[in-house]
Amino acid sequence: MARNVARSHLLFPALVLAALMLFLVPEAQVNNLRARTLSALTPLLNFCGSATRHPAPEPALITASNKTVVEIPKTPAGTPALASAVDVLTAELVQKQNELAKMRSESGARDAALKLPPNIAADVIARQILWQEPVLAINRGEADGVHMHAGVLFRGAVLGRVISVGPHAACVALLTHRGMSITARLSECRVEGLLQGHAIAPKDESEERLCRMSVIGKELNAKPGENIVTSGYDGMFPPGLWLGAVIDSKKKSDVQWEISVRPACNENVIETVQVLLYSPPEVPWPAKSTKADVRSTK
Amino acid sequence: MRYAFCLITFFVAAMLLQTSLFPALIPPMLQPDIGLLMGLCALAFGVREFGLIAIFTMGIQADLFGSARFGLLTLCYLLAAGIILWAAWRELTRGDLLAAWIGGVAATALAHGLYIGIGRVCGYDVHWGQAFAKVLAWILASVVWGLPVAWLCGKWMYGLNLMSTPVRERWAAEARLAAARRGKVMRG
Repeated sequence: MARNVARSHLLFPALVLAALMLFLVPEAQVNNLRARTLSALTPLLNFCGSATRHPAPEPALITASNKTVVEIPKTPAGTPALASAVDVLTAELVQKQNELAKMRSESGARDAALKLPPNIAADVIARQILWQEPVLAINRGEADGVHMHAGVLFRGAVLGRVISVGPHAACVALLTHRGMSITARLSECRVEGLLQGHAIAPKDESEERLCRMSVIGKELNAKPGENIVTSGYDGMFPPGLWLGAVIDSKKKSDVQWEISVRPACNENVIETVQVLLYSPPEVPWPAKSTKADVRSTK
Repeated sequence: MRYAFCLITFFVAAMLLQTSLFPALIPPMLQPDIGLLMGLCALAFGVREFGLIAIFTMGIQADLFGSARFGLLTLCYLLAAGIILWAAWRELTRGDLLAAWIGGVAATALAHGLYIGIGRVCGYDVHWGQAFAKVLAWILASVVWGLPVAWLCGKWMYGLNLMSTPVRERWAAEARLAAARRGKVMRG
């Protein structure tokens, strides 16, 4: 009995060691072993499968995305389980191919959308609270092409804009800065408005800094969580850059709404930003005409 | 030879059930980890070495068809069996169907809990919610199927004369008692 116990005490660690050694088996050999085991058991699996599986359906006509009709070839008679498996797999293949094509087209569109306007990367070199507002200092200035009021992005989302420029450094005010205003648009209901910083700075540092967006209109269908993007009308940011998300909206007067907005970027995690070198195309607005000019053209 | 035959039958039965019969017959919520249940029955009813080797074999069977890394499930099966033996080997090896049943449920929970834990440590992508739901489903299925599996495995091992001596004595006594109740006399 004692010898048996000792033997089993040795056997257990040996088996655990063997199990650990199995980790070293390469994946290819595991796949090979799996295939061999399945091949060896195929007659039994087929037997069990034929006993349990429903009768094989007739091969179906599947319309592919390019409008060509693909007919699945019939498998030889006498292998109903295999025929059924081939049908299922072929149908799955066509479905997956369609899904893949759709995802490729979507990802292509997304890549195009992710292309940022011309910009230069800048490191954040200092952060100060000036008049209760956080201001970031970056290591790029006029010598690098940074100009006053240039837009600043962080990972593709709007962080703020340049408020003062030196030869080799600049200061950036964040979206939550009380003096900030950017023309914005709700991404889903496409309503436009003006995104501004917080009117009153939070009393303590732990309080979340938010923005507000003023919208003129009788009705507003902004949903909490809806994204807000730049509209591009102010000439500093190209349209479509992410600004933040709606928290809630309230009616200020008959035709005015105020939306609370959580900005897209949290200033505490920012180390590197992109400063936009974007300048909007010049629009050839017609010259302002006087009443006399209008009369003379008539 | 009998041991090898029993192991092979367990291995093949577990594979057929896992890959073919269960997916066709039973809803996913009630598909048990049959290999582990069988292995634990072998551990409960047979001699300890045979039980441990059966657990190892069933682990390899499970690793072949349902593991993120070959060897991981085997290791978890062995560790779970080791924990159960360490905690309750006397109760488990009494030859009781109930003990094998509860042991199967506990082994299912332990082995898959260990699998998730070790998988996370090894850096495999384990989603907690999905993993928890799957483990719960396995535990539920082992509660449902544990007793029939223990009975079938016990009968099979009893028929092949692979049980450990005390367990065999107990099963034989129960069989004699049942036969006497039916008015028959059994030898042995």
